[in-house]
Amino acid sequence: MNAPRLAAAAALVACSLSSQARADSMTPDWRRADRRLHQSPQSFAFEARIGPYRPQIDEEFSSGKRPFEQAFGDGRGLYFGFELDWQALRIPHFGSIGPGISWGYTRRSAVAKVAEGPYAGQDSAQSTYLTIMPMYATGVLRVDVLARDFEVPIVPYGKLGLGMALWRASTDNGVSTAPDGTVGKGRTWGTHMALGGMFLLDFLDPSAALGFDEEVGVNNSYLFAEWQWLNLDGQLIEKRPQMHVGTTGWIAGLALEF
Amino acid sequence: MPRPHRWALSVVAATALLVCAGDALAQTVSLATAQANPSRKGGFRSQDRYPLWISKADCLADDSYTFVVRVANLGSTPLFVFASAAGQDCSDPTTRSGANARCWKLAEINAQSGATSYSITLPVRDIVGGYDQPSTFNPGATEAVCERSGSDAPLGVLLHFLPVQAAGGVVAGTGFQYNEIKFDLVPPSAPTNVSAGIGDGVLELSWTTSLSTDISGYQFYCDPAPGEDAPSSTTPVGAAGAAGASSTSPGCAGSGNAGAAGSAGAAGTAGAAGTGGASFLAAGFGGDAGAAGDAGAAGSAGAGAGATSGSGGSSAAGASSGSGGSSSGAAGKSGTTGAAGCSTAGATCGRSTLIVGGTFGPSGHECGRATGNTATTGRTSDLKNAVEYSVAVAAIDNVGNVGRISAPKCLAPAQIEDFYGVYVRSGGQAGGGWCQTSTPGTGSAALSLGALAAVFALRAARRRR
Repeated sequence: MNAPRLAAAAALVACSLSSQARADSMTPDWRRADRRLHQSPQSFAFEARIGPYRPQIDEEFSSGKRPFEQAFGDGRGLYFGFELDWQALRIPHFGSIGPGISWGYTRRSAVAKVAEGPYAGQDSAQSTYLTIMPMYATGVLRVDVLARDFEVPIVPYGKLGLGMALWRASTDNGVSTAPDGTVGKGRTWGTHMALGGMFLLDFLDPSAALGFDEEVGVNNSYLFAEWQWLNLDGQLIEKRPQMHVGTTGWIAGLALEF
Repeated sequence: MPRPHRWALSVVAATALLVCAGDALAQTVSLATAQANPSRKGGFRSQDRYPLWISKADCLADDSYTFVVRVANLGSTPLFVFASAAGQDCSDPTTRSGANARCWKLAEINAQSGATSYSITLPVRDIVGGYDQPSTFNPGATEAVCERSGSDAPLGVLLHFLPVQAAGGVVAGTGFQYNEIKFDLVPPSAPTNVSAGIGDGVLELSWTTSLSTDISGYQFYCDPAPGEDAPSSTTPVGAAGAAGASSTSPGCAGSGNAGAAGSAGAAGTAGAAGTGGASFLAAGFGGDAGAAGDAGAAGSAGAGAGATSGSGGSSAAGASSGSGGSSSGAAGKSGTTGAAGCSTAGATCGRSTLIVGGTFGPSGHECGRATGNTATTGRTSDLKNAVEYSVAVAAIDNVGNVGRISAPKCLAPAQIEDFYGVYVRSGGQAGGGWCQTSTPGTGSAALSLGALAAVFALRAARRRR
């Protein structure tokens, strides 16, 4: 057994012993009802989010043209982001509700084709990029009664709010420009909706969950998955052409309540 | 002995002692404390470029160092400055003269009465000139010493500032040594496997690094120079013979087609030499030689017209002009044109292989640079789309010596199909910047109301808690 494996095994054993000792002394229950006396105050939730992302740019064109697919193909890019929610209002035996904000990032790149000359259509030595930063301000309702009052470690939730994205088209030479000089950067407004479910990780190791709360103030940890509609089509705000950089699809991640 | 005589003798003896002691007082030479390092006529390079070292450019520019040297008790003893390879000692007279001399003289300063310091200027050519043959070196080296081959590793030179007695060459007192100077006159070797790719207004280059060990970066060269269009077509000279085919790829180094061979005309005039196609690269991008014309039937010879090399070219192989025919005869056939350059993307230009390893140095053709000794890719700048360029790469060493250029590649930048271009051509109208504003739509009012409602709701919630 090499050194890293040995260290990992030792850490695992230590962790188990620690959990066992804590369990012996505190006999915790993962359910919130039994832990409420021991836990720290809880007002916020933080999400680290990741998922595939394919902007709906091609839906902007009714002519059948598909500029996004032409440039980047039909695959999906990777999105990551963060969300911070303020659980402003707690509804007893139901859940929490409050505002949240999110910032995300995704970038697509592809080798650009030569557009002119004897090598037109062949791969150039440069790439073309589209960078999108989707953001939203949203209201979040988390129904945690199942986890708090019953032994079901599931927290369904919904989000509804205003979405906005900043996008930037570029090449290796810098930001792209249209022949008329228009800069390839823009802002798109729209709506944001999401439905999802969170799995309470405290269920797996109540002792560790208690320790996490005692040591760093994190009340609950979750894995979550949601279906989001980030409908950024520019129809809601501002009467000007806006690139449809929103998306619809699955997002997964880790959430912490603190 | 009478007392007065004794007294006089004592005075003489004391005086002699003082004089002797004066000579015996340490004669010291030191750099002025206010100037630990010398000044340079050509100024100093940046700290990361070894400002005290000597590069080939320094040597060609006849740069010099000026030391301010403080002396004490030098008397009439002249001050000498010698140079040696690092680690040598020049205090022994045998190291400074004879067939086995290891030190070479740079300067000799006759002592001036009462002087406490001297300003001594040492040409860098003298410093490097005696390195290989110190025994035969004399100050006043020409720029020929700047040409050096072999290892491109920097060589250390030790400067010795010594008070040396005229008689016997004995060092009289204490001098000092200055060991901060090295010289590097050998440019780095050329990078290899250079390839070029098409970009929008640029060419993307990649290469295999130079084998030299003291590389600080890579310099790109383009022809035509950045920002310029290709030069017009060139028509080689073919005075008496058939006109040579002009270059169809102007501006590409080495791509100029050769002038056709002069024919042996009826009057037997010589076919003039076809010139190489116009070539930007002063060094070595010679045009192709025109093929020899066939001899006229009755003529002595149709001249074989050789192209001249590109101006200043050192390695283009052009045949010399042939002599004219001496008698009438049928016209010789035209020579064949040289190989065309710049016709294939990324291919080497015509005779570009002729100049691989050649020196290069015209300013104005620099079109980009990559820093770092491990750089293997880079991008040219300020090129024009649809203009065919010959582009080459040269390594730069730590003192700024630009090395020999690589085999050039020929390629034309071109517009690329980036996403935004495709989007706009498809009819997309978005863009203009992140802070672009527009007339507020009806949605703005709804949004404002929504935001207000949210604020009130939150405040109410807080009051409730």
